[in-house]
Amino acid sequence: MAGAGARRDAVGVGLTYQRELHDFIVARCDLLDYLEVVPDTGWTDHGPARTPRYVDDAAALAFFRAFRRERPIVAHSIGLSIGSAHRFRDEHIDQIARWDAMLDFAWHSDHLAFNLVRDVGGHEYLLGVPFSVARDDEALDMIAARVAAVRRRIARPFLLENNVNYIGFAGEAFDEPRFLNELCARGGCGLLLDLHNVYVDVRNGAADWDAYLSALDLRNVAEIHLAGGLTHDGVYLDAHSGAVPDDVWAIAAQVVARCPNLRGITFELLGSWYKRMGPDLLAATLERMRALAAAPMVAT
Amino acid sequence: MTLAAFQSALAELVAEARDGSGRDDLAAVERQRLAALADDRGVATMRMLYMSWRLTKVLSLLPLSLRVLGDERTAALLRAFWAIRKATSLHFVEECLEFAAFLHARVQDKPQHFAAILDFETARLQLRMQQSLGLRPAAQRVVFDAEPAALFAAVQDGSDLSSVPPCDAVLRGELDADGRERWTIEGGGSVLEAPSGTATSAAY
Repeated sequence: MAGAGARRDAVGVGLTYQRELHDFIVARCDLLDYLEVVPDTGWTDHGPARTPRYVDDAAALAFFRAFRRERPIVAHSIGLSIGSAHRFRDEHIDQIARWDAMLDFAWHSDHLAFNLVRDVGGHEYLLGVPFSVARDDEALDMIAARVAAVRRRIARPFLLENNVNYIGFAGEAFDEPRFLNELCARGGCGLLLDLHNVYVDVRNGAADWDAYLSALDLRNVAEIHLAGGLTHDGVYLDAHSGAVPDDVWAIAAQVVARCPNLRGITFELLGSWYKRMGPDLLAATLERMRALAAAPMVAT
Repeated sequence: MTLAAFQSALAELVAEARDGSGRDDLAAVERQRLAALADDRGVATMRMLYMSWRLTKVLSLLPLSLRVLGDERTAALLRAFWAIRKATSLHFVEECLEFAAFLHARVQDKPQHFAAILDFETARLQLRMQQSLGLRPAAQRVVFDAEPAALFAAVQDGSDLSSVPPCDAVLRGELDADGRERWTIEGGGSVLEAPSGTATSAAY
């Protein structure tokens, strides 16, 4: 563990892969220490009734394999739905394990959320949007056990990402930082701290920076996400739509220096916003992230 | 376990604006939480994100057909389709093929050239569907009674489709070795560039 004042050369800079960013990634791979891939977009899941159920995108997989020969790949999945109460998606873990065997992930992550539900008729369906989990003991017990199961199945560090909380629930047993602390302690996972997600909650009045960061055990943070957003109908959204807000950069500078086990800082940009952001600003963002990653630790 | 029922009710509140706070399979605190969310701004935000997620996929995969139908008609047809079809995959090709069949069956008084344009976009989806199943996609044929390239351009520009010159043409589509679509006019052999769809949305 790095101590106060130490430099941490192990903190890398990454970018989440999107098809529209492909040429940029090829041309400016000098700016990247690793590539973060959303594996679910690299295969087609035809559902349990079809064989084969999962069919890989051969072109995407070939590119990731080529990249892996030069630099690490980390997986950031969207399909685990670890907070779904009606069942655990074992088949998704098997699929991540299959891709890990091909791409040798440095670590893998998913979201503290659910997007798979069962309706009153017993049919499963997808919501497509990560729904917040009600942070009570029942959910904590369930998710901690699932985290442990993921770690038994895939021998890589597993991180959970804090969700955006557009919806809040009255009378929860835990706030988000303490729920995450408990999950890390009981399940053995690490934390992917998405600072833009926290910023969204702060902007929308659902969180307070000081309270959040003072309650969160930053020793669990292994990766940080940065992104940009936009306002729609008076609500600030996690849209991955371009430049990182100044307030997020400022908070990131404080937080990065207090995370002794941080391994990577990743920028998320939705491919359809790439043209508007442009390669110069994207490159400048990654360079600023590198300076952030090189900052020495401070005493906490 | 009531948490699964709560999540189901919450999902219905967001996706279908259905109040489940009276369900008898919920704990008291869960009923209270749902009741408190009924007029919550966050629920409206989640509903917008959920609808956007479903809508952008359809707009991406059937852009020309929906442009010909227009926003109002498209919205009404999507509401009717979504009432009977929930999303079951992050991959929307199969769902969009079902929606295309739904449109064929449900759209009365079809706008001029709508059927051919929908056939064309259905054929593109069939190529993608077969590819995603790991199959070698069979070539697709689509019959037009207007010049295809001019027709596509007119749809994209929002021009009057009746001004597109009539012409009997058959487009043949297949995927090349790299998985790229290749469309040619049968008999003429000229290559046609397939129009691109719209952008996708971020939900994560």
